[in-house]
Amino acid sequence: MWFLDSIASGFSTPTSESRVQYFRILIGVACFAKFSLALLYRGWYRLERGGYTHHALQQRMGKDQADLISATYRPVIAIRLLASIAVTCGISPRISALLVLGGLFYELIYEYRYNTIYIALMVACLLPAGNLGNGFTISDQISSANTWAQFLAVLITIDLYWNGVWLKVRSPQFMSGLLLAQFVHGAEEVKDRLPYREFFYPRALLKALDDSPAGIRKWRLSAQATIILELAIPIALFVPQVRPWAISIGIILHTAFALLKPRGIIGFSIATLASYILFVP
Amino acid sequence: MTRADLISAAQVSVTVLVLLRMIWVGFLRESGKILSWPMFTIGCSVIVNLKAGDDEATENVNVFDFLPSGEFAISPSELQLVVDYIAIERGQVNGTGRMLWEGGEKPIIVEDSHVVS
Repeated sequence: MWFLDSIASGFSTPTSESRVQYFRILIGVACFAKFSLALLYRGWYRLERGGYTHHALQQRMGKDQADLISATYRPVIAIRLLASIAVTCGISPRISALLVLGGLFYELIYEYRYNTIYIALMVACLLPAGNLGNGFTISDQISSANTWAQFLAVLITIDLYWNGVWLKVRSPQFMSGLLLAQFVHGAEEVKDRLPYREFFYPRALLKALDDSPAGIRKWRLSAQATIILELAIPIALFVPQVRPWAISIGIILHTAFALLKPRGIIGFSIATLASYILFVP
Repeated sequence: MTRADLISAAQVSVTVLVLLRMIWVGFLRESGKILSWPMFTIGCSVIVNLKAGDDEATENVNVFDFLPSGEFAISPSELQLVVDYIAIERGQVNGTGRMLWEGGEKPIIVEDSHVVS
């Protein structure tokens, strides 16, 4: 298997340069989706002085730092949005990726989310690649130029899935189905109080999977299925015979995740699905 | 030793460090730091009805009008932060609600701008 061979060979195992180049295009799309969705519904005004986010930052970091972050917010989110387009289009891809990475870490200051960390790490994996390509031209070369970058991104995706499984299995709240039931029905309960429409949970789903004890038992099946799929997908992606199934199931799984909290998760789901390309040498 | 050997050695070293960190923070410490992934593993959120104002002139306030858009699952600590903010903007905050946590549900009270569970 190329993944294990590559570490044994000190990352001199040849891989197709095109994998990381396709991945670069898609990770740019993921970042563009995340950054543009963050601007929806008054996102441009989010860090205004006197607003809640500024107040929360002030409590955590002090007035001077909160003021500094507020003052730099708009330039940073504008630059990172443009840089994400440049990553996709292959315009100075390494510099653009660095700008995107800076924008993602900047976001972590005022909104710490694990899905942002994952996307940031995927973007960081582009930096050591030997050939990120230019524009939309995809190389047909097979070399070790991108092997380490490809290995790191795959390693992080495997860790994302398997560590997620480890932590979920040890959480009685998740394993019982209670967490999923609370999230969906809690969100549905406050839906009409939200200033903007953030999600749509089909009525049939809410009825079939309610938050009664019987409904929670059904949610438990969803939780257990998630565990099994998250465990199996990384292995199946390495096996050519079952890879198409793994990709299809991964798309369904990440679409389901994205439906839970669309604006927050869509970029993450695209980034995770983009990483599937890298499981092929 | 060639330049290629040095680069290869550096790549292997960084990879081993990354792997060790993954194991340490993800599987041994469960710290929630970078390279551990506790998404959707434990959740604690609140659903509250709040009133704000001074003395008799109080009005209902919608907590989501103050939060950034996209936030709809608020933890008790986030609730305290937003209550502090509403208290500055609108005056003293009081209210009741429920906390959804790993033990199920329990009542939550906001009294004199303090979240009491």
